Amino acid sequence: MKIFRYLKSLTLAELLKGMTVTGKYFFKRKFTIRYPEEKTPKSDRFRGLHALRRYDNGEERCIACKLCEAVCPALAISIDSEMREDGSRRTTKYEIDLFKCIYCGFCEESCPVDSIVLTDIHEFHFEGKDKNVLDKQQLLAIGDMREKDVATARKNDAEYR
Amino acid sequence: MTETTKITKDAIPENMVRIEIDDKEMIVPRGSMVIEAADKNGISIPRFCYHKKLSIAANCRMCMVDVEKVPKPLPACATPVMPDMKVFTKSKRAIDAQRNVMEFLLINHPLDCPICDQGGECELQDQSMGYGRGVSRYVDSKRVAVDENIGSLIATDMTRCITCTRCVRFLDEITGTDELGGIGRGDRTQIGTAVGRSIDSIMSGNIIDLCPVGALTNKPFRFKARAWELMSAQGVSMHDAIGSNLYYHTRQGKILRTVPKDNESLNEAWISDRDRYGVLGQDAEDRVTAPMVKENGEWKETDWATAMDLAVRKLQANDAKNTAVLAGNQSTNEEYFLLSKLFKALGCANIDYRLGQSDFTQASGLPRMDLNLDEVGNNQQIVLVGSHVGHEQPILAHRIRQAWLKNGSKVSIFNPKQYHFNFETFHHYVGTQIEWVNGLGSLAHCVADLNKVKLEGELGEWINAQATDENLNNLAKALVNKDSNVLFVIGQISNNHPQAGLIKAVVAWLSSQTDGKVYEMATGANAVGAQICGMGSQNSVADILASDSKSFLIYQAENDDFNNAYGAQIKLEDADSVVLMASFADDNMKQVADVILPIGLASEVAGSYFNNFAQMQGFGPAAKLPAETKPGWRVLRVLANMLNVDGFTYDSIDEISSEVALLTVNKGEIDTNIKVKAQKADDLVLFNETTIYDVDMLARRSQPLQDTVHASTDNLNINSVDAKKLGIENAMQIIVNQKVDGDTITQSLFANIDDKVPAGSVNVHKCVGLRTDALNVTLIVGDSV
Repeated sequence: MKIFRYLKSLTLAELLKGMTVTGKYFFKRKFTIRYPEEKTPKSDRFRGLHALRRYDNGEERCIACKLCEAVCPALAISIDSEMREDGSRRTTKYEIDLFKCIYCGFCEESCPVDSIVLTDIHEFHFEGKDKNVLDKQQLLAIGDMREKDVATARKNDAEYR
Repeated sequence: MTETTKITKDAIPENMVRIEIDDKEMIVPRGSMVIEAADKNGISIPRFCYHKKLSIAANCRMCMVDVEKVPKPLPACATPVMPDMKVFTKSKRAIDAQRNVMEFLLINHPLDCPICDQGGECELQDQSMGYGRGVSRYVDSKRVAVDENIGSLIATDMTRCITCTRCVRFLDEITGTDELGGIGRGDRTQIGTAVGRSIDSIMSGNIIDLCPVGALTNKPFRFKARAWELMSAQGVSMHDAIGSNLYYHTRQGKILRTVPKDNESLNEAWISDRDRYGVLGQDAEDRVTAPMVKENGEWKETDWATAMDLAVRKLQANDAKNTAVLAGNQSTNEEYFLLSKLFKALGCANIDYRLGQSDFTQASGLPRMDLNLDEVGNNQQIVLVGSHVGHEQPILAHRIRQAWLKNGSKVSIFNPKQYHFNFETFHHYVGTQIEWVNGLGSLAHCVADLNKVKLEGELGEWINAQATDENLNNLAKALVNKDSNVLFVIGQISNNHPQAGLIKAVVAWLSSQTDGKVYEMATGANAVGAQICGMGSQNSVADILASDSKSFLIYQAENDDFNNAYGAQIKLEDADSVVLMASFADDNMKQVADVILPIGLASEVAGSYFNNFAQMQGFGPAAKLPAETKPGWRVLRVLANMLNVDGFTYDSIDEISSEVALLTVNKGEIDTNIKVKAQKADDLVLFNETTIYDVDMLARRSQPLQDTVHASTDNLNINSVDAKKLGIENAMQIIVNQKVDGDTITQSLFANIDDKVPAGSVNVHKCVGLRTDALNVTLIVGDSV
């Protein structure tokens, strides 16, 4: 057996085998892109940074039913609720801890009013120790910023849900 | 009894029948319903309208079951058991019937579970998971109902109502107030008050628990939390001595609502509104959450060490003989035990908790309690002596109503005001604070004549001096009847009466003549515990306020708790030092105190209460102590060590509780050999009333309760006859002068003409600041406002 191994290494057969693969891909089309100038397309179901949506008239959608808080497997969401002056049920605190969140998307699935959504934003960072917790105002602001994309993605995906 | 062994015919008692439910054999009482038999044997049948404590309505049709040889499914709640009946709760016909009923119920029910407070604890939601269809077939318009505002305690969402009528039946059968009813027919039936009034029953909160859907929900709790976020902790009522068992529901260590815990021998399945909403006073603005000291008249928050040092210096400033301890009646046994142990060890004899009372001649022992609460219904004759029972111990009023309703008990009443009761009265004696006591004497006189007994002693002479009359003679005849059990209830109006000792002596004498039993109400949730722990065995609060005491420790009490709030305030202002250990400090207390040590409420600490039947009931801490607040027993322990008193080495509350459990509980007795202190009416007689939500510092601070119709007012209630005589009209400003021991207390109040007040009497609420121990007042009529 030893003699075969000796001959194999002497003839550089394995090296040539490997180089064949390299050579094959050398002439194929490239997979890599020039991130961040170039970006790959994302699925409509991409689960990125969270947002709270509003209705067209500017009213926040969230009704403080706390189903997202209950369903969250990482206990990342915490909500306080109260009666607003007009008698409607609203949150006074809506916080998501992004360190705890595992981006499973259960919150979006449980939401009866399509308020909490996961946008396709996946490039974000924090510049402070306690900045990992998004509060209600931040979440609503993200929602306002990305409402168009979110709505389109939901519409495209609607028939598969 | 297993399924394999057949029950032989001979083994079945006369009043029982053998039935089979889902092939399970059981013997159940003849005449009981199928649903009761199923519940007892752990077979679940869905239901909405059936409730074990209410009458059977059978209008939700959810409990349909299949019975052998019956062509149609039958409602299990309204089908009596028959010998050898075979019931199937899971057969196709039964399940189909239940599913169809569910579909009809959901036709008009809105799908707003996400914003409904009942979501997560809703019977309709739970059962629709089992019986409901996934998709609705209904396409027409849904029914919508208009919401009524029924007060500060209960929120309504009548569109969600499935007309099970549990609330209607509760307010009809249990409270007897008939405040809700069904209006309209068929699917247009709506539950409502019809006239747009609020629901004013003192037990109204129970309809929230009864409602199987979210039509009636807890108003102060509205939208605050979901059922699954709440932690449940067992507690005991902090407002009356029945000791109702309850659960506090907390979220993040804060009590958000209260619900009853079933206890068949005490509160059954109910609690009063005071127990349900009283605890909400915990968040009042004047809650003290950090130790505070007064520096040059300014209050400053400080740390515990500084505050305790100052408290010790203040308490040592005067000799123990000139030191006094005045406590409220809401603290735990353990706190009372340490408090009395500490100050007795220091040689202080001025310890009391009976701040609202004025006559202490019969107050040195426990209240007399000859029976347990579930024995109230065994009495054919019940005599209420000076009691607005529903407002003093609501659960007792419920028991008396049930006794009247189910056992035909006859209830007679002696009162200073024509209160409305939720039972019919056999004899209702209403007179001024002086007259009704004399009326009780007249009754005793009639009984003495009927029994042909010779009256002796001062009490005998006094009874003899009271005139007899025919009405009272009829009552006396009913009471001395050998076939009837008699119960005398001594209420809190009697306890706070300046002639309390005399009233109790007359009742004790009457009970001995009629073979009756006596139930003496304790004033305050843990008054019995305070007495057992030795808080009431020495100088009374009246002696203390009259003594030279210069150093005071006020423990969970405030100015409004005193019978003589005015006198107490002056005494405390003159004192060298006042240490306040309390959860709350209002402006009056802040004015007199030198140092405030914040301690927890009974809902925030572990401990125990004795109820009116001397049963000890323990509980753990339900809520977190706010900020710097500490449990009272810990503060007292440290205080004792700083004052160099031995025997305070307790490391846990259990060590104190076990010592409390070893204390002797003497049976309450009433002495009939007393000195009679006669009262004479000069002009108008004052009835100074402690209202239902003015009983303790917590209830006073509960905003939802203070927003009800039962809250105290600064009215002066006067009979129309007297009003006409004095030229008084409604809303006129009246100046009331109360003369006591050469001192005059003056208050300006608004007239309210009310014929529930007997002629010759004026009625005010205690919060206006008049004393309860002096009955004579004069009025000066001012200008109309």
